Amino acid sequence: MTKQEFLTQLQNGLSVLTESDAQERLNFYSEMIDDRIEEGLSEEEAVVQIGDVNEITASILSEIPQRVPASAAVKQENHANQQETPKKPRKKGMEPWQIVMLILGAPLWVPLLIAAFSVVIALIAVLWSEVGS
Amino acid sequence: MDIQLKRGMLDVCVLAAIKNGESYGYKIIKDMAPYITLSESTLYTILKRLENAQMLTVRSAEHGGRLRKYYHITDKGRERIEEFKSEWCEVMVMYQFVTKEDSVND
Repeated sequence: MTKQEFLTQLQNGLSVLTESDAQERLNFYSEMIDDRIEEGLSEEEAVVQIGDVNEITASILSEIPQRVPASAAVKQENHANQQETPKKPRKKGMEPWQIVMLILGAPLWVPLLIAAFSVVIALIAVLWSEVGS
Repeated sequence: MDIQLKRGMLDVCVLAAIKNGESYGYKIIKDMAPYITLSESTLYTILKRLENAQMLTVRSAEHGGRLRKYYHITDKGRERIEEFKSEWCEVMVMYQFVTKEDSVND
């Protein structure tokens, strides 16, 4: 693999990061490869020594808290994954719109609830009187 | 080994690698290689963490037609090394005690 191929693959794998974060990491790895080449390694050998690009991507992504789960990151289609925003933890209590709906619908569900309740009471009363006789 | 503990220790090792003078990424890995194997991604995270903790500073300098980042230890970084050394004196005494028990029973 050439240096450019490695960096491109890495860049694709890190698409969930911010551009500056990803760029910083790319620069870091690019520098690492160049330093090895300067030492006398071939470009191919330098890239091999850095490690497997998929493993590196997975380990970078696993360090980031609460983003993409590591298993999904490894087999991801990057753009498809960008659509899937991380789930925020559910807020305790109700959303404001749900409260509004509840109040607006009250003239409907309150009488229905009372009616249902009354039916239950009536049934119990009937059954109870049957038992008595 | 507890991963947090190891992480903290590797941080200090990287500080030690730059305590005698500034260094750069690949050189740090090479200097540590006889003792510890460090991957690029681990080193990147450590350097970022140390920078945020103000234990080192970074500067970019031109080298052979490209930019290279050099890492320089700060006073806070040196303090951390000293702190580590005194913490581990205690640990070494305990280690001696634990292993001394073994040799008595042999």
